[in-house]
Amino acid sequence: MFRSILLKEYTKLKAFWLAGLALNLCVAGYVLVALRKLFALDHAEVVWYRVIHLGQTFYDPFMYLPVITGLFMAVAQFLPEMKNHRFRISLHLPLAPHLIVLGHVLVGLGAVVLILAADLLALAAMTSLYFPAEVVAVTLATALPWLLAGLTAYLGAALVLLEPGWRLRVFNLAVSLGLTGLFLHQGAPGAYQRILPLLFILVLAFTPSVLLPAYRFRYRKD
Amino acid sequence: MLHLARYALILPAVIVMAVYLPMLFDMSFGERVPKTHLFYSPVSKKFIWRDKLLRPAEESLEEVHHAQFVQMDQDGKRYTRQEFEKLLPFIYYKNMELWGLLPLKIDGASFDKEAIRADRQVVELKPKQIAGRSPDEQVYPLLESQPDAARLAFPEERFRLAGGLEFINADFNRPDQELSRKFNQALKKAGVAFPLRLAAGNNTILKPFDNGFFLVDASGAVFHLKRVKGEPWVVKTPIDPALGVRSIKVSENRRKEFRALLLSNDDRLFLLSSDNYRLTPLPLEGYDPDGMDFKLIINPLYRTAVYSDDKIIRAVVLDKDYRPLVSYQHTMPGAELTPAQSVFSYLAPFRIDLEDPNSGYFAFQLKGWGTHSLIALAWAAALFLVYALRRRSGGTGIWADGLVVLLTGAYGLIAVTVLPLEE
Repeated sequence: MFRSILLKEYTKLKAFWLAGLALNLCVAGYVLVALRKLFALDHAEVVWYRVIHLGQTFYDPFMYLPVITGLFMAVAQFLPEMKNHRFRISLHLPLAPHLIVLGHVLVGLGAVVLILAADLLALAAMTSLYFPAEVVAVTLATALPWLLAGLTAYLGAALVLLEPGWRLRVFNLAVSLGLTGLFLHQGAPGAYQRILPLLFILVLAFTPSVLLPAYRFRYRKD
Repeated sequence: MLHLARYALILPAVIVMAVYLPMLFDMSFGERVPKTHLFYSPVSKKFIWRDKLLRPAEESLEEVHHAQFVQMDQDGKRYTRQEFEKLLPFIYYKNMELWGLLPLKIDGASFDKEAIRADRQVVELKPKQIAGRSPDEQVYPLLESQPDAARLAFPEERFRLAGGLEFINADFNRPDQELSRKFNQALKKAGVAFPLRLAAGNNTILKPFDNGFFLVDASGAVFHLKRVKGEPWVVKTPIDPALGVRSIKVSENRRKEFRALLLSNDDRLFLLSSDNYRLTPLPLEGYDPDGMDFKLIINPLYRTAVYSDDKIIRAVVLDKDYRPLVSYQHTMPGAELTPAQSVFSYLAPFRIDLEDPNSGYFAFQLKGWGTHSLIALAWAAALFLVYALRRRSGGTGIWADGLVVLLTGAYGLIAVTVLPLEE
């Protein structure tokens, strides 16, 4: 039964996943073109100075992309389920509600993670074309929190969409927005470096929260 | 599973509230109280400062909208802005010129505009600027120190510390083996014990001249490296390797009195002289480099070392040989809570700040407010008790919620009441 849920979600999300991946690859392509232009317009050592010492982040277009991707996948996955409370039918399958939700979230989160991993690889590859390994490391340390923001955006959107009551929906929205915002603070490139493990733990700790609205949905009183 | 899911939402909710609610409160009611600007007046021979007070001064010398900004001296005497600037003629020398007060006559000596300009310098060291306290790619440009042009230019290569120096060509993004070999041979000849562990330079071309890099080797010895006409120029400085160099901030100023500020592992600060690399210790009692901003203000008569954390600012006046003459300390208005901050400290037991003013790295910093925090925890716990009694629900869940409120105060109270225990 669990495998059937995974298969159902995979079939449902495949087209959206490809669309999400295409959007992310387009942005990666744009960043690469912009990066090439930087080196075409100026001496390489001047571009290095701007990136290394002035903190110019040529990969800025990536900043909100994971959040958009996470939101897109969550909406694609859960909005149809909420129409006419279709999700309730899934929750009546002969499987514990948390396993049903877990199946959905595994597929959705997996889809987001795959796209974000492609972003990370693309960013690492294009940075290492033009900059030394130290810059690649700082670039990835700067972009990783943005990618984690994509995961909290997905989980937060799922929390909000699955929640049946308006009062908790607003609360979930506020917590999700706030949590996602924690990963998007403006600082020097690499400023998040020392708290990246903590941020990972925070995302992991937040993940099971999606089960709560599912339980409320399954056994709702309001 | 239901409990796990609930606390998986409560924990982030508490963190989010502890970050954003104080921030929103500050934005709505708080006010920024900048650090005091403390100086030593060569005219009155007194310490004078400019403060922003939390409440407007009762008898202000300034216009109403400036009433919170006061200029005063160590005897409590207030000054107008113009009087204040006249007490600091070496700093505000352009205004002195405008007001027809140049040349200055102080202690029988005369100082015209050129004499003042030639003997002024300010050098700073902030905690963020100490090696390892901010993110840094650690690939450095070794500039040509004697360029064939009027201004400095960036070289095509940068170097990293990889045992010795490894130069990387920016045009090809590849190591330049030949250049690396040439510089490492020169370093070896000068007595460097590899691996190198610190490189300190001023990585800009917006400076009057280039003083190269200081390198600290495996034994703790300090070497001075420059690129002169494309060739390595290395000097082993007489600095005792046992000193333990923590950080070096290179200074390239036309006065050329010293080459750098040097911070040792035991928190002492030195000036590294231009002649023979002598170390001059700065007598800074109670200086904590990780939590204090340091500034050395040099004028034709005195050197004033000013250093401050977020509560107290201290100053030591030194003579030209850096011997202490007189010192002073002042508690800044920002040391006390503003009325809004005070109210908030009774409402919530702590706040979480992501940004650390003393570091370039983000950190989750939990900041409490002593007894106020305890009061904030107590009222939240009392309210939760009333809530729990009215709900009349028992079980371990209510105890766990109680513990959350007891530890996190209002934040936890909001979270557990908005997300009530469900059957």
